[in-house]
Amino acid sequence: MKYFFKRFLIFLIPVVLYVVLVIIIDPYNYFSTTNKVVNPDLKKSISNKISNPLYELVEFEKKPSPYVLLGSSQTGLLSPDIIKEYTHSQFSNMSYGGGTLPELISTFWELTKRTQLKEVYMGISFIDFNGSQYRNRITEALKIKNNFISYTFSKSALESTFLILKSIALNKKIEIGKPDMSEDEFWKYQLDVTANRFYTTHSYPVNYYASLKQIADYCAANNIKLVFFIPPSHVDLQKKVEEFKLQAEENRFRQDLNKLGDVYDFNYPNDFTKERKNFSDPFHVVNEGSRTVAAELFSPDKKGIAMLLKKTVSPANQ
Amino acid sequence: MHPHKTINYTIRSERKKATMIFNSIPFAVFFSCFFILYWVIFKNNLKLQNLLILAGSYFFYGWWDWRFLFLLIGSSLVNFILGIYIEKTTNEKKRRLLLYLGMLQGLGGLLFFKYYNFFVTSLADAFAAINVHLNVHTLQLILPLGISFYTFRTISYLLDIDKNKIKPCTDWVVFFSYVCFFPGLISGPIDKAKLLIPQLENKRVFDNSQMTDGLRQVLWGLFKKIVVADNCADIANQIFDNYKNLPGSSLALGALFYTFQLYSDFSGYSDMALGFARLLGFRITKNFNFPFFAQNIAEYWRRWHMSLTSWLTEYVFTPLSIKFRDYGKAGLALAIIINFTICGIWHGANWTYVLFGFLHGLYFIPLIIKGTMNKKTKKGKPTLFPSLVELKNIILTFILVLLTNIVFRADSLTQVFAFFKHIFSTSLLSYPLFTNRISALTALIFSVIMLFVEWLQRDKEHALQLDSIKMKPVFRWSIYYAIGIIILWFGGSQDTFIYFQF
Repeated sequence: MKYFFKRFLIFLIPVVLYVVLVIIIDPYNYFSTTNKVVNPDLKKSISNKISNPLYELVEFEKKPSPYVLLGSSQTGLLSPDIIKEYTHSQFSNMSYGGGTLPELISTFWELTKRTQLKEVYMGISFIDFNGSQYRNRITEALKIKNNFISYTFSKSALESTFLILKSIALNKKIEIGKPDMSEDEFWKYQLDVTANRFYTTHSYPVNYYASLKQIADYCAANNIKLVFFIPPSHVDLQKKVEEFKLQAEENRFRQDLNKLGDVYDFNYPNDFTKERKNFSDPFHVVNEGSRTVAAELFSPDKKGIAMLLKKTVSPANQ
Repeated sequence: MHPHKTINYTIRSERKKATMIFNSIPFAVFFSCFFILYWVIFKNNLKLQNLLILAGSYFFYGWWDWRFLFLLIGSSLVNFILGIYIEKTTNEKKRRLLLYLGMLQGLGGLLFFKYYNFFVTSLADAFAAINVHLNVHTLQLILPLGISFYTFRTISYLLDIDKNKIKPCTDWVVFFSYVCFFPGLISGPIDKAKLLIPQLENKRVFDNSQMTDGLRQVLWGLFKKIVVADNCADIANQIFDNYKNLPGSSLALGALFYTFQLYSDFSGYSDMALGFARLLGFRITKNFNFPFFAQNIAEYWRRWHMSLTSWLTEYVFTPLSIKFRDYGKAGLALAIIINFTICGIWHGANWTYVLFGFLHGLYFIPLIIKGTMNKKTKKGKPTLFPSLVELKNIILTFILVLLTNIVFRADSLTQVFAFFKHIFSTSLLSYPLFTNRISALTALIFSVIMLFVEWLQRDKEHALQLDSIKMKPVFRWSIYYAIGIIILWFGGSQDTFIYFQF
């Protein structure tokens, strides 16, 4: 018996070493936000890409904010620092790359457990308004951050720790998720592959819409300002709706969103969305473009900013 | 159809039940403490070890819902007493009566919790078809975890005593531990009393090689469950949930992923159960013997969920085939079809399970006609590649299983027919659509790796049995670490096992 236990303990030595390593590096700042063993920017550049929801949720738990943005990567481009210039409020952007409606919904309810929300901006595009997109990384992220063991032995912690160590050892920036193709090729890929994948599986999200309705009711009952906006995409992507004959569905999406609260639409053909240089790919605006969107969304008209893009959705203008 | 009323029965679901599953942190903590107490503190006292098994099993079960412990304890107590009285009673009539009482208790509980709603709604639907609307009441019942498994254990115990195959157990701790032995409590295997009770009555020896091999089997079970089953589940769920919007090619792949999921989920659980039992010094019933390498459906069932197949063969098929022996092959076919229909119904209260069992019964008919049902495949030294005939047989059997798994997975018969209609359309030849192709590819690659390793190790007890392979410890340990890293890196995130619902 002693022999077995001895060998088993020896076998566990690398496991213990791994645990110590994760505690020291702490890729998601789970143990402490003041851990300076590893450069915080390096950690963020890697961990936030590996598991965006886990990183954001841990950060939010440490620094909860009553002002939040929810959505996918299109909303994720809106910088809280820029928004602060207009609102003087510290927003927390809880949008995730590849974010889905169920993730947005789960995040909202999770945040209500952490703080008393005051303003919630939800960026939802038609492409995300899809009943077939049921991926929900929030459940997994919450499970991981539930306790020390699940965090330490999670794939996210393992992968991030490995990449952070690799970056330090090689003294090299690690690129994660960067497409291995030219800008033009990637543009075409996003239109022909990514957009097609979403639209071919499009179905009306009956259950998710019911969940959004619950959120709207909760916000109304708890005096939380709820604003919906449809982030801009390039007209090339907008045309895909027509190609897949989903115009009626898209109109219904706008109308249904409007039933839940104020909706600002940035996604229609105009000078901005026709101009390719405003976009890094058909889905995402460049930094300067996101500043314009933030200005129009958060700056009250009285400040004199020309409203070039924002269009209020109401039953009248459908 | 008349709407059925649902009564909020007292044992209704008020909160999400958390099962202490083998691949969870609570179980890891529980088993570590248990293992140390069992082998270090109580190693010299058999009675205390058995008491610990009993207490540990009740703790394990009560973690899910302590209220159902009363049912488990009550069932154990009734069967313990009945076993002793059946043995003592010489009057054949009284003996029968006691046996039926025990079966009524076991099957009654099972029928009530598992099939009550199914029976009343099916009855109401049948009457509704002839325009007679019954006002039936359904109950919001929680199916007690593992009830199908421990009920079959107690029934076989009484039947074996009645047939004088075993003596009744007179030590209540041993018998209660047999009924609730935690490695097999929730999803089997369905151990027969003659296998497990003698092991509980005798001192267990700490055997280093058995411990190590038990750990290996647990590790392989974890790989199958977390890496293969959970990743396949994501894809299969996605396809089955959206089958109306997807082409036949995607649905065919969905059926394939579900087949891999079902196997790796259940056999992964069984591997872990066997491994944990071995870590406590027990050998429990092997439940899977690489069923995807079976060359006909009879062989498949001799390799799939073996403890259930063996149970049904002994207590259902054999008596039925004796009863129908005068009818020759037709009688045999009827016995098989009834046997497999019961096997289907055992899985749950749904017409899909009935159809699933019935179809498997039908699959046997060509074998019965040819007289090859009991013919066993020749066992020689395993070769790296199968012969063409073997490969053809393996693929054909696999396709038959895959088709019935669609029925098994579907929520209703309507979905079964719609699914088949979508599959067998021209879109079967189109390019399959997925929302996440990389995940699908990952799941497929790991499924193939699992099958490949199992093919190479198919003459062993489990795929990670490396005792007979000469290699340096450093290589062996590297394999374990590599599997551990794969589990962390590629593991999926399902919260349960498929067979928990049965």
